[in-house]
Amino acid sequence: MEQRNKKYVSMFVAITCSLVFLVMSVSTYKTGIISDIGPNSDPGKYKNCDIINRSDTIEGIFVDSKGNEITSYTTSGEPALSNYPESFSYLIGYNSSVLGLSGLRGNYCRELFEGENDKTGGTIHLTTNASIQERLYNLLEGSIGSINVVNANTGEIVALTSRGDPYVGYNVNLIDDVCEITENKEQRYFEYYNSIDGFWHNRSILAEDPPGSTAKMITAVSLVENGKGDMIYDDIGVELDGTVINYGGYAYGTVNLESALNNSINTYFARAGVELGNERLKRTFNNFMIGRDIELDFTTLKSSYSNSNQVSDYVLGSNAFGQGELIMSPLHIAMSIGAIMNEGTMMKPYLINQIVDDEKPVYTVTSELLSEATDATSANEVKRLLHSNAEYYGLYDYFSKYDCYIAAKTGTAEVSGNKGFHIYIALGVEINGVPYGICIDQANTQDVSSTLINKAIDTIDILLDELK
Amino acid sequence: MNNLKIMNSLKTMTNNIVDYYKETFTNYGSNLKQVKWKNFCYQVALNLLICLSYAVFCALKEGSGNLYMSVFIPIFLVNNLILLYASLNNSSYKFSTLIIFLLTTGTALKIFMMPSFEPSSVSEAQKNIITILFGILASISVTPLIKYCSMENNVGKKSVYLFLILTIVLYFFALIFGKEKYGTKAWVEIGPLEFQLTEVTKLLAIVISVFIIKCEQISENDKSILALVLLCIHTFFLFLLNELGTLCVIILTVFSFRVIFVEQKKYVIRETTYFFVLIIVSITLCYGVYRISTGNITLQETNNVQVELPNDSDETEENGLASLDSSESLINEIIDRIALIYPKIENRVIAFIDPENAPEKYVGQIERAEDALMFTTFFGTPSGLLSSVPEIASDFVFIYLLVRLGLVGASLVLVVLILMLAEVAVEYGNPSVDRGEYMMAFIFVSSIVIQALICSCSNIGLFPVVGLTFPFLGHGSTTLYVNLFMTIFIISFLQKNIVKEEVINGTTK
Repeated sequence: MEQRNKKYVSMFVAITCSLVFLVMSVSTYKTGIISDIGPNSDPGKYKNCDIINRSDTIEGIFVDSKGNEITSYTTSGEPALSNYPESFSYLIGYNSSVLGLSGLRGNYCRELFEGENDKTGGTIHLTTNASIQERLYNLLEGSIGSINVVNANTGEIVALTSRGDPYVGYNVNLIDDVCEITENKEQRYFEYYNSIDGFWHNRSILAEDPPGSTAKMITAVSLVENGKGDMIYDDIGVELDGTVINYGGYAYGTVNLESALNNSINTYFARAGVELGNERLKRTFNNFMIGRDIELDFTTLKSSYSNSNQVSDYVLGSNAFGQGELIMSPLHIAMSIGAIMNEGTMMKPYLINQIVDDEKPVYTVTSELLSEATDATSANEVKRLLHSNAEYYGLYDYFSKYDCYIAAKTGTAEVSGNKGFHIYIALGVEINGVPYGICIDQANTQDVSSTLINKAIDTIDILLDELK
Repeated sequence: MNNLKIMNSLKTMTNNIVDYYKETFTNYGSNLKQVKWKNFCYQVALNLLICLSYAVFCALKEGSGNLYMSVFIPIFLVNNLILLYASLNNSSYKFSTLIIFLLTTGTALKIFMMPSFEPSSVSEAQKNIITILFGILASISVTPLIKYCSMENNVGKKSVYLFLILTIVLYFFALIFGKEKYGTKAWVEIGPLEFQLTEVTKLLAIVISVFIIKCEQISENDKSILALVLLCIHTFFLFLLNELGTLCVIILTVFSFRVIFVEQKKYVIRETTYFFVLIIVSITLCYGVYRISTGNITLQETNNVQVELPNDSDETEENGLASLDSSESLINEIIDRIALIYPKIENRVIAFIDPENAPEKYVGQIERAEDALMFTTFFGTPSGLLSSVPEIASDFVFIYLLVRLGLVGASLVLVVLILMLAEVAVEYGNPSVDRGEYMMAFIFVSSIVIQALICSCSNIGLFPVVGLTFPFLGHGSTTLYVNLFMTIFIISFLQKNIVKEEVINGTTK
């Protein structure tokens, strides 16, 4: 055979050997065997909990921001006992011999079930306040919804509580137990929970509905930052060729932005959306991280805004007043009003403060900027307008004796599927000079959003009691 | 007159093949008398050592102590067939031992495959052993035919065209009668048997590549054009059938082979250039067809790039074209499949270069595979189900190999493949080697190594996921049959060279 081709054969073998070496090098790197170099060493990113051997380990525990145990140690192979079995259920998740792990237990299975030097898992310090969480959870009784409180200055999540059924509480301690609620004695609790439609959804982070009129605060920001904060509108009760009407069919006459927010005038904001144009409105919503996935330390927060650059006036107008192609979660609403309270800076929410194992911190978090949602001037102006809202709702009357600045916006979203409405109230509260973003929501209801005012009062009461 | 000529030439060819078979089996008889049984026993002992090592590994690591009789003794017995065949051919035992190692590794991995299998998949391992047995026997039967064709002067122009036509016929057969499975339409049922037709066409592509170079009746220019036509045929049909993995193997193997063995490199450069220009033009045309078929549906930008497919996107792609009415004409089906080519390629490319903007289903399995890597140690991780990693038995079997056998085990497997390549490559320096047989053996071992590298690279994120399994280790009977056929051929190829080398060195035994 031709000898000159011999070199090509040799080259081919050499290239193959090099590729094999490359494959093994990359594999070694990605396993993280060479410690601290592997890319998968970030806590909470591990997804393969099936392979964790839970039978020989004592499950690690969760503690709240004050060091109170949310879960307590038990024995090897047994789930840790939740001391707040319902209020923290959607956050910490279950440890089931049948279903496996969910929630934070699933996200942080390595940290909870693989101790560094012994057979005991680590301790995860959460940012939440157990007392606040428990008290806010009790406010949700009789409804499906959530209450979400975020420290807008740092991003710490103070409370994130959810309820999937008005009267059936999600108890993680009972997940594998035989259910005594139903007549079928063989049914276990997880099977019972499974039979309730939408039960497993963590309502705080569930993004499936429009935010309703709470989105008007973002449209208001867009108006202010684009020099249209002084927009005056002659409202006749309909807009965009009759496709947009106000609640109750009211016509408010000549109104400005403050009045439009106070009365939540759909037509004003629909016209505002068209005046701003898609490019400017979309930019503002994108600055508030709407339409972008946000990678948090316990979930990926999703939202959506019209993706196309060409939208009709109707869609544009609908987006502007909180319907249309806009979808965001209650937590995101809390983050948005928090950003307005925080001079336009949106901090990245986080739930995990620190992870400790064998008394050594293995992971400590630092606050992180998520987005400069708007400039301070625009934020403060809208904050003033939302404060006017709070007065309009009567909230300020309750709290004027405290040194507590309040901003608020209600919202009612129409949802498809004959499930009623999804109602919200977004609150911005300053306690001891620290701004908090809050969102209370209730799903599948026939009530209007103003019915949440009482819950808002109770929420602020609890926060003032615990944080002041 | 012409018919008579054809009949006569067919008769001559058949007689030649029959004579060659007779000669082969006569050689087996005479080689059997010359077998050094001591060497043979050493190899059998080595085979036993490999099988028992895996049995002990499974007992210690996996906790299953009773697999000696049900799995590892049977695979030991089947492996001995390969050693026996090597003896009959007076062939090198080195290559046979390397194959035995791979087959035993593949069998051992199948014992604890998941998630679609039972937790103890002894039956899967046993089925694998039966497949290997039939594969070896079938390959031994067919190998003399291919060897005859590989020899110099035994391949005519008409044979090349015949094989090309056969390839096209098989592809149309797959298009018309094929079954949608695992997102491709490469599966064909004949009675109780089901096999992946694209594996057969892959083998044909490789064989035809050798024939094209060997055939002296075709000019160099025409050979180059034929090679280009060969690649275009496979590219077109494999795109239609959504077999991107097989296509990658064929393109890389054929190009590498032609770069090495074609004398005048200008033809290789020319056909490479033409081929890639054709690919770009074709993808552009596919994009056009896609846009026309989707009508008003637009590509969603940013965030998660969801490329809308005709009909219902996710279901359509996952089930292949299950939504198509079976009574639609073949032309309509081809047009619909052409419309699907662009989004499929785009989604996979985006998942590779920009995972954050790729649809979750393309990125999720890669992320979970990378997470599984966290449990890789030097010598393997015991038990537990890797149920979070999809397609762990086929597309992501390299991840499974890394986790179960550790970095050491996976390195060993890759080194074995390199040694197989080297075993064949070194024969280049042997002046007595038949050029045709050498090329056939070389391209066979190259295709196995290239497939292994593509699979391992895609598993660890160095290459887009194209749905290719690791040779000998992954799930798939047809793939195993084809790989066994190639390795049996190589074993028989290594035979003549040993004999001739010893004669040349004056050490005839």
